[in-house]
Amino acid sequence: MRALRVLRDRIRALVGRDVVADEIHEEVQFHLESRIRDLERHGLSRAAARREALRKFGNPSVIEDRGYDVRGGGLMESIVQDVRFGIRLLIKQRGFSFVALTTLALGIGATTAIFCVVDAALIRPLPYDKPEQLVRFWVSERGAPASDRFAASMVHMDGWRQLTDIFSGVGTARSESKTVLAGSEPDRVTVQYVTVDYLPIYGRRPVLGRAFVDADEQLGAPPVALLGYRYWQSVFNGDPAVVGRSLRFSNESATIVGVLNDDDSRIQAKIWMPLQATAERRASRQYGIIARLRDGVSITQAQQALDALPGIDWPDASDSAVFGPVLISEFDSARQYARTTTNVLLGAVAFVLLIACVNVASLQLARGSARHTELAIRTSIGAGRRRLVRQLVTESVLLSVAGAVLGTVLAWLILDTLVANIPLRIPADVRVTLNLRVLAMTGALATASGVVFGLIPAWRSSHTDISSLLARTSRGARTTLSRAAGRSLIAIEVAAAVLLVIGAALMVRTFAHVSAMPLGFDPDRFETMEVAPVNDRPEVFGPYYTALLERVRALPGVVSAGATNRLPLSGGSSFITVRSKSIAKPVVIQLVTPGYFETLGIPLVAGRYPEGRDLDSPRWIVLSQEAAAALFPGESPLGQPVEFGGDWRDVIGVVPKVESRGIDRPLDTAQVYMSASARPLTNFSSTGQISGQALTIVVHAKSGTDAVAVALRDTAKSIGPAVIVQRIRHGREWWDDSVVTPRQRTVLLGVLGGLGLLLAIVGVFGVTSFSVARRVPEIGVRLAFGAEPRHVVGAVVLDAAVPIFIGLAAGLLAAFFLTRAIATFLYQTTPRDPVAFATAAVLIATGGLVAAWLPARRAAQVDPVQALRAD
Amino acid sequence: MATTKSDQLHGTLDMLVLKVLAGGPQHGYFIATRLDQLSSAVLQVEEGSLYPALYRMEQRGWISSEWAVTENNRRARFYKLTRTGRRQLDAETASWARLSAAVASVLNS
Repeated sequence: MRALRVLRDRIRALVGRDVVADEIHEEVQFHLESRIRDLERHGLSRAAARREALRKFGNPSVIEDRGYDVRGGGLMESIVQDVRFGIRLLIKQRGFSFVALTTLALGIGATTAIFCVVDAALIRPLPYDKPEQLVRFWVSERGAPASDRFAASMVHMDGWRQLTDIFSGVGTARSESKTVLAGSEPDRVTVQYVTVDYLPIYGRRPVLGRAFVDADEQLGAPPVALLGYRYWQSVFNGDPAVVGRSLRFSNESATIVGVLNDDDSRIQAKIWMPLQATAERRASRQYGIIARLRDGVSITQAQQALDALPGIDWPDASDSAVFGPVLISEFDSARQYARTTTNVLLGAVAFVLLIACVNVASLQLARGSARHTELAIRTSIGAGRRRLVRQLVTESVLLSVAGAVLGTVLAWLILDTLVANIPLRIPADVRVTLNLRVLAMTGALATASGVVFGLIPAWRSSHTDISSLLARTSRGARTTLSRAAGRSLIAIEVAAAVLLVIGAALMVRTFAHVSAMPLGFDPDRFETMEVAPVNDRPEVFGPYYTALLERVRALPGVVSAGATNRLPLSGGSSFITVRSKSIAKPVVIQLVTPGYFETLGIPLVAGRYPEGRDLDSPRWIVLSQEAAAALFPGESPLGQPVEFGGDWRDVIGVVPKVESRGIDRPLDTAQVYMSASARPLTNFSSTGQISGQALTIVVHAKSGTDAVAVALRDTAKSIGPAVIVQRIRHGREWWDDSVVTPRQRTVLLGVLGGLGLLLAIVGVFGVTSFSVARRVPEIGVRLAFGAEPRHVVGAVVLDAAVPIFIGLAAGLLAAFFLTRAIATFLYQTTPRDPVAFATAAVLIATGGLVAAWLPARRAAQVDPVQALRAD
Repeated sequence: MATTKSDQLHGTLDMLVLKVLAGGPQHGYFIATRLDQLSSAVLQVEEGSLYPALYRMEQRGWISSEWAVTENNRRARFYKLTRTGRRQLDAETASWARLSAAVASVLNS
């Protein structure tokens, strides 16, 4: 009730000020006139009665105003007044407003943008229905702690498929590049061969036609295909009549049976076909097997059920070792991957925001001090303390809201750039945007910071004795308070900046190490060309690459050329178990032609490189040093046989390790190079040529990159069969693409670190400038008594140096414990890297002292006469 | 923050106003003259202060107001005690009695 009454009065006061004011006026007039009439009745003259009535009543206009305040006109009116006054003040104090708004906009903008991305990356790490049900099968030795995890075979998968009370589906996929003759031109597309369960596990179902059925998976079943939705839209114009039509590849054709629902970023393919595997292929252990848990089955329960089963058939196992499946949650892996990055980003941006807020707080403090006299006078002429606090908080919230608006605009401007450069996997169907959640956070942030920073000067003003302030005799006491506050603010922001700069320095060090990483090959000396004939039958591929290499080697300026199925640093790798006489070892396998090692600049450790005469021989193999040491401990591998897939090949050479998987996940597994003349997993081609698989050509040429590229493209097209040249890249570009993630992390943390440093410097500068301005009279006295200007400068700088070094020490100490958070981002750099710590310390100390020295220098130029007169 | 002295003054004034209104609805001028008579020289308050006090009590729900016509045919704002206000008056009277009894016993001892 009361609240309603108050509200009614306030609204009336706001919308119809005159009504309330008129009522009060009328009431007061009635009172005065009644009094005058009574007094006249007692015999006073009209004038005397009037004087007496007023004497008894007090000042009517003051009473009316107080009444108006009580009846609620006051609050609303004064808020409007405060906002107006605040805006006028912000416009007047341009320097203050500019620095404060820029600081807030940068802090809030960075926070908002990062928050948007984190929101998208964490809320939907896997864009599937019930993603926590997705698990991946691995195989490891039972009871062996920290044993290696191996990929399983389809034969194993067939066993797990029977466990229908645990899994709603178990499946696998294999992708292959194929030439399809569907659009206007032949196109090489990725075809995913999947088992029947695979697509339902990911919630993919046909929007048109039918899904795959068990019969499609049988060997010899008529080939069928599903189209990806986007592929269907772009190549077939979304024509529903495609179902039942034939899809032509260069070497076969398949009946289109349907169109799948929308693609997502994780399992992408334009065309899907059933995986029809031969017995040999089913037995090979190289499949990523994925499963979906039934509703209500936890991963722990599933693992327990699997552990209760007898061990699986595992050929390499020694007699005593038992192997069994291990389930790893796909959801956890994806979240884990995102979690580290998002935590680090949120942490870093929180520090930037902290520095920004501390900056604004110190600016407010300085401004509050400068306005002390104004506030004191207002108090003395009757402004209530609450009223002053309200005004200061209003001004501060105004500033924060303006900062938040600018920050949001900034976030909106940088968001696309950020998303394109962030080392996070964001599902393609999640649009990163400023949503309500993010805006609410920004709003809350702005209001909270506004209230807090408004209260700081208000709190200070409420602790000031008015008369002493007006007399300006209490300078000592006052400066102690604000100096302590200013100092702790400096210490806080320096500490936060130290953390940010150390984080950035660690990333820069990491990137330097990554750049200097011994790759095992020289990325600057070769060009790469991904090329494949349109007709991808083995009998076309073999002669084509053979002829192409011959012609490329004959090009002017070409020193050497070779080919491989997979360049180093290209990510994924296939593990295959090979064995010497007595030892079996999983290795990373790669197919190469003669000329490959020379072209990439991979040195020879022992034996010989494959030569021209080895081109059509499948019988040679080259080992990395690790593979040689593992397979032939204590003896020379040269000339020794290595078994793989039932065939024996002779070791002809040993080369050093080459970084094969990618820089952000270096691999210590042994590497084995086989002749591209033989395909793994299938019979040798007996054509005496390179076998039928798409290869990447590598060329070391003396002439310029562009000229080589043109010559390569022309040569590739001049052989005979129609070809698709996918990409021609210099080795260095290839390397650049492989270090995208470390580079993005470096740039991102570098920018945040730089922002932190800059804001901290602005903060130190602001606080010191303010302290110098306040100490002008004191400095004037000192100078008048003959103090050397450089001593004055020294004293001011020293004054700021104390909190700077306290903050520095605190920041270094905190970093000592906190940098572990980014340990997984680091390469050959420990989280407590002394160089990074030292660099950050020097940067911050220098920046801070320069920021303190600039205003100090101004202090020394104070004119003593003017400084003293001003007081 | 706010001084206790003026709080006491407010409290006393409020209680007296409520006491006056306990006799029936009255306008501000009548309340002021009654207060003047009741407290004679003891309460030296500007009459004008009564109005902010009335507005405050109205917002607290102790009194309500409406415009009416006086016996002299003048338009005036009449205040009347609400139920909350009556309870408030009883409570204050009781506590005042306790306080004055306590003070009296101290002074007489």
